[in-house]
Amino acid sequence: MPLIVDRLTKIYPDGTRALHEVSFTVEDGEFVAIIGLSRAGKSTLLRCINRLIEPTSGRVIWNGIDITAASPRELRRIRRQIGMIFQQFNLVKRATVLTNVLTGRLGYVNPWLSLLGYFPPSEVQRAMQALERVGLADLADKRADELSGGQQQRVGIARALMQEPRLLLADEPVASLDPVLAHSILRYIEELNRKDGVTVLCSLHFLDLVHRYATRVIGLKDGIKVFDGRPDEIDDRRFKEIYGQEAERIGG
Amino acid sequence: MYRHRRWLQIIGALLALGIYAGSWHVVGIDLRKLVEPQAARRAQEIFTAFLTPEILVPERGIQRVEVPVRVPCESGNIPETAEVGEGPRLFLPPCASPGTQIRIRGEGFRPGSELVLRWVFAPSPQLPLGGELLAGRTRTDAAGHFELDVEIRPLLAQEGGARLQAEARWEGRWQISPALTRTMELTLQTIFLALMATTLATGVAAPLSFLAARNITARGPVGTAVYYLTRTIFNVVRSIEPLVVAAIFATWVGFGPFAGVLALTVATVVNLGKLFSEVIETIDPGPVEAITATGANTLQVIRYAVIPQITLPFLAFIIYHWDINVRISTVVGFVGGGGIGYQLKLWIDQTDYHKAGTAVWAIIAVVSAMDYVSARLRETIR
Amino acid sequence: MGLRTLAGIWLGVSLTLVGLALWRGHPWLWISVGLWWIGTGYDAWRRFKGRRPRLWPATLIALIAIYGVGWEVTEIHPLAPFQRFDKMRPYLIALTQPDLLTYPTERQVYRIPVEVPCTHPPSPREIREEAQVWLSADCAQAGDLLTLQGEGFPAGPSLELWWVNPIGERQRILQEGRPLSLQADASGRFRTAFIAPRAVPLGFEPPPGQSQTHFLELHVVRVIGGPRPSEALLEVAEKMGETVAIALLATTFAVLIAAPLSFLAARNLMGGSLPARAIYYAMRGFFNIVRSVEPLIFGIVFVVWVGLGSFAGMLALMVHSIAALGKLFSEVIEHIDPGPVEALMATGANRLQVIRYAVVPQVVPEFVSFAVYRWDINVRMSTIIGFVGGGGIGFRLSEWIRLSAYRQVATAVIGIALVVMALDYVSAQVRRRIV
Repeated sequence: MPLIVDRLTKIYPDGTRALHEVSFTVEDGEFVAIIGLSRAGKSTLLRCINRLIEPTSGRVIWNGIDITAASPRELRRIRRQIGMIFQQFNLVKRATVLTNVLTGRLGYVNPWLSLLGYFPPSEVQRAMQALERVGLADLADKRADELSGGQQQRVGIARALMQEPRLLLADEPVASLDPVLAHSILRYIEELNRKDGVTVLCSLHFLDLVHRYATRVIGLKDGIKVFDGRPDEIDDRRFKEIYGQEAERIGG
Repeated sequence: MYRHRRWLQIIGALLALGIYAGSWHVVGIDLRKLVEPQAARRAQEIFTAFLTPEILVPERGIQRVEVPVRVPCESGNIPETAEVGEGPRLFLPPCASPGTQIRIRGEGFRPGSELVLRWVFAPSPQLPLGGELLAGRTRTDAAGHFELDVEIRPLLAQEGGARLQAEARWEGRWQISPALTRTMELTLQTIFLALMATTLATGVAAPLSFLAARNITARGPVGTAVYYLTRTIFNVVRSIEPLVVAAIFATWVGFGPFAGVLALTVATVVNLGKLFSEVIETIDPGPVEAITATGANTLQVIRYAVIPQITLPFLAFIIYHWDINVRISTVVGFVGGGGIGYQLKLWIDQTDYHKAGTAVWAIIAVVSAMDYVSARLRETIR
Repeated sequence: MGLRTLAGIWLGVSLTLVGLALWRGHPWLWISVGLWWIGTGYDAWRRFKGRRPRLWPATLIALIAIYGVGWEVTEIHPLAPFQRFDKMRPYLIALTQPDLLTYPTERQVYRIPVEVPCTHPPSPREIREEAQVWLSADCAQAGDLLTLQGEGFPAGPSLELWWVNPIGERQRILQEGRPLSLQADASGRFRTAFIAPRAVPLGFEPPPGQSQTHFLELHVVRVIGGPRPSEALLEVAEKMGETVAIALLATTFAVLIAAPLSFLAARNLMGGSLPARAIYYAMRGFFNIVRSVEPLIFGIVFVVWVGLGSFAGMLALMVHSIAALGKLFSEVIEHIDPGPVEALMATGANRLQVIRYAVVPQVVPEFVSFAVYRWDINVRMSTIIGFVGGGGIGFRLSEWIRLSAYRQVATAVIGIALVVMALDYVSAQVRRRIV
């Protein structure tokens, strides 16, 4: 049940071409890092996969279903199986940690009861388990904005866990965090990938992180796929292709 | 260039001077009016009265008994008779001869009160409107008794007698003045008036504000039109003071607090609507994106990504407007909108300045308290 | 929430509910007090057992009780706005046709005598002047249906019907509640039916069996000349000018008085010596007390003091503004950068010199901004200060509302909205430039 991205193109209303005919196939269980400069189209690519951004043309097929052609109802059923974590964590800051985690389950629970703020006890228990898994069970009743950045991202991961995802999209999950914390977050994602067999598409900034965690790398430059291969295949020439002539390679 | 600016400055200054001179004339400023003897006396009267509001008043009491006395007697001397009332009783002869003195005894009056005896004449040819004649004054003793000799004047003989009235008056314990009770009741009404108006307005403004939020509504031609229409309505209605609206509502639904509630509701809807829409325009789009990505539907996204972000700012504005509405509802009664304002104006019109002072101090107390409470609440819910 | 906060809320709500129950004396309020205690007790028990708190049932009870009292105290009749909509309809209609313009007119009048009531069988009556008019009956009483027709009238001008009784009281003939107005057709004819109005003057009733002479007047109304502003429009324009002038002077005087006073109410300048602190607290108290009294209340006081008119209104707005501005100004002073103050003190400058050279330059822009903002508020306030006799448009407006002069009310409301919105815009622009 691979993820097939076929000639995906996105042109924004102001004329910016964020993606141009990007195609690739991701097999189950892969950990794909997407690299490139800021504004190279990494976020757009990830968001076109679950259609948070409508692609201009091209197709995304997953589990044999054409996501780009799905009706709103189908799209919601697909989205609930695709976890997503964000650079800015995107938690509801004034809600509790537990509520934030429970929102990951909205696609599964009774929509009318959920509007009243009711979640079945089994779901609450599931949320507590997810929090335990990221080591935050004792903070369940705290408000999200009382947590540190690393803790907030772990809540973000717990929220994605609630979806029991088959695919995880991670948009710069560690870019707003201390380098020390970056590893702890990526280890959770790696664990998901290895233990639960979740396919991961993760955009990353630092090449050393890519080498450490990814099984495959896709390089984007100005919306065009310029690299697709194993991390150790990135040499100086490839590096300059992706990041431009002025870039200097550090680490990795 | 510099010269040019200098001229502009001179023209501007002259224009300002002209505007101020015109305003001075139109407004009819006359500082003498403030210190004219009569005006100054009125002002002094008002302010001293305001400084001594009516809070406690002595309990006033009165007891009255009336007994007819014939003058002169028709046949000889008739023994003293007792006139028994419910409480106080008088003992005196039923008739008397002019020029003599009769002894009047009383029992059962309030001890230690001032007692006045007077003759009350019925209307007659000589006294077409009737009349009264003071017969004597004394005080009741510690047991509520009194005894007084009263002279039978010739006028009594001329009228064939009169009714003897004994009146005991006293000032008793200090008690809470009725003006204070009334003030407190109306102050509570004022607070509730503001509360009801703020609540109703919140119910209307919260959904409306989504229509006036650029990021929600201003999509496509219809949405943009709705956005501008809502904004314009908010701005136009905001420029009309709630008191004008209250005066019109008072003719619509009748005088009383309900008219005030409706007027304040209208004013609050447009003010809150504007503030709410600004809150909605500045929410963080991140959670919306994140919750959409979990497969939630639109209502779930609003419930879990939008509402948690706007609840507290909304609440802060609601409390703030409750505070403002308490202020306005202290005067909305001037135009028939209920609350303390109507009574205050009435007391001032009746020159009952002490009572008006009670109302003014109540207003100061409740407005300051609301000011403080609302500031503290808004601090805590941030 | 901490335990202390919870206990405070519990006590506050309990006292409120008991107070309301004592005040209103309804048994259901006492029941709500009991339910509140049961609900909070249940919540406390859950907390004690380590379960999730459940406070909403108790909260709901308290809210129902409080809003129930509010509903009763404010005498809410949800149906009144609908049942009495007829009182509002004229305002809504008037808003679409405010009294803005009048056209100078010339009237040509045909008078047709009518005997009231009939003492003989009615017969038609004919009047021949420049044109001819027939009235279906020469006598009538209130409620009779009469027909009027005419021939030889000009087609353009509108025709109005008026009824004049023997003492000269004139009333317009109505049809379905609206003034009857018609026009002759191209051939100069018209025909209309109407109902004779009740017009016999009180105290001048004719003796039984006799009649009195009323007149039906047909007015041919010709517009001569173009539109000109109506009386109401001129009055609104004049009074709006007065309104703005009241606000302008009140704000100016208030600024001039509040600016120096505000220094006395600034904590950072009035620290130190005991008298200075005493002055600080006195000024603070004065500002806070006066600020909480609405300008309209000062309005009624000043009307008693200096008499009806704009002067009283100006004084009322001024006094309230002094307190409001004084507080804002003193807060501005309290938040200045203390650096320059310290530097000047170090040079040995005295208190006044420090204020002049270290404080004033820092505060002027914000003072001006607040003053402009206050002017904006005062313009709004001065539109209503007339409700208590303080001059400006409010006085006329309250009169028009009382007299149900709907179209004039509409004119005034539109005038207020335009001026207030314009000044709102101007003041927002000015403040944006300054800050």
